[in-house]
Amino acid sequence: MPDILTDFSKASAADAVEANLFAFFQHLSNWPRVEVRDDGDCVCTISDLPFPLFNSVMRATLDGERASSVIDARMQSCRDRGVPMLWWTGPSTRPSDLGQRLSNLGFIVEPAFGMTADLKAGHSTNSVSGSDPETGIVAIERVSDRATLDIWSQVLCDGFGAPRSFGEAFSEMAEAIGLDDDSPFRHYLARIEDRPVATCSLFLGAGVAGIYDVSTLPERRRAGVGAAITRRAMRDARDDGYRMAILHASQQGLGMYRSLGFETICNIGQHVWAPESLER
Amino acid sequence: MRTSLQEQFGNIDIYLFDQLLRGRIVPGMRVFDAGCGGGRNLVYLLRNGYDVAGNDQDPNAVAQLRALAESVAPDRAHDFRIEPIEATSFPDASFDVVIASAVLHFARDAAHFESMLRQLWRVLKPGGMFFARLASTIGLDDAAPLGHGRYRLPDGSDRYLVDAAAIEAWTGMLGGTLIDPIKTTVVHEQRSMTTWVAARR
Repeated sequence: MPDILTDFSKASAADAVEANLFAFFQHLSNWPRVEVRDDGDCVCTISDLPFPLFNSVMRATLDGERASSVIDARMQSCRDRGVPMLWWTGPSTRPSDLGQRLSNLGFIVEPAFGMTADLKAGHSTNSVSGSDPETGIVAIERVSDRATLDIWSQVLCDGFGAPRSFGEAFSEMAEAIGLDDDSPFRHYLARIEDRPVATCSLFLGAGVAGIYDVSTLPERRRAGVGAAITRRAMRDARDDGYRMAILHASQQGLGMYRSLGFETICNIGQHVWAPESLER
Repeated sequence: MRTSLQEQFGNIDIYLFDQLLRGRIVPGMRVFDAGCGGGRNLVYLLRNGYDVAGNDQDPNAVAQLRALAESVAPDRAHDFRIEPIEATSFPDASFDVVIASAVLHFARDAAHFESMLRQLWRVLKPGGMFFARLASTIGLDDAAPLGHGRYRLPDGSDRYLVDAAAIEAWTGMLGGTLIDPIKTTVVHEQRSMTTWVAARR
């Protein structure tokens, strides 16, 4: 386990928001369907899977000319394979106008906010909601087998509006990283009256606890289930000794995460591009 | 002969009027009105010696505003450009006040919202005031999400909506400070309009 991060300065927190994500992608090398390539000044994941997440570029610190050649090469590689791609930008990204360059090339950006929370602050993690007057009984379990993981990933897809085939690939990937107690990648499923309704993942890496995949079925939103399942993941991370939680929030998620003790630290850009042949 | 209030102020946004009354916008300042339309918020400023500029992608609205500016302040140079807000062509840090009155909620999605906001912030001088009125979810229970941050409001219109957390987060991300509390007018069972006033640090 890496050293637990305890430096809550703004620079350290902003680093952690990205470092946890980068550490996650390193784990994808456990999964044969994705190749992880570290060129020193950027990291790429390369696959034949038709989902941007598995064809990502991140941790780019490229000088001016190198930036153009890497962008060209990545786009050409995705054209050759017929897959869409995702380029992550954040405070460490160089050149600093990389996001704008990608937009000029037709990438569509989904902006997000990097947020961090102090897990020892207590006000957010002490009470893990067992029941809620609006939602009935919420039962939250940690996913420990493939069958439950498959249910989990379908809820994820339905919550995010992603195709279910993405969930199948995600399940395969998550199983390859590991579902055992000691796995750094953990998944939580919330049920109301036995019906699965919400998901959350916890990725322990770079000394911090990354919260990902927080998704609630549309008909169960605004009832506190997302907050309850996130609190559970935060509490587990705290019990494992972690001090800082990080996440990437959409603007719509900011209010809920703030209520859990998260503060906005930086902007994160997710720039998606698909070869012309895939565009509809 | 006394001019009527209408002639003096036009259809100025009442919360912008409040900023005038409080002395936050004084003659001599350079004021930028993003998505200025026909200039409903600019009549008073034009009449009273403010250095006013704006942009709007509707050529008819800009033509109307240019004519208005010529008639009420013929002795001043005006700069009203036909362009979308996300392509604002004015130079960096060139305005003391940036107004975005009822425009940001027309964002197509979060990326469009961000690109407009960053342009508005870019043209604002350090220490300058950012004033926005925009639709929000604050106090509104039954806005139906349409995806990409847009909602159908109870009055039937579709808007990109923010909440207080988003306004606070954006203010911080842009390097600003709220100089008024976030204030919202809830039009019962129709829509919520929020006033966002920040200073650039």
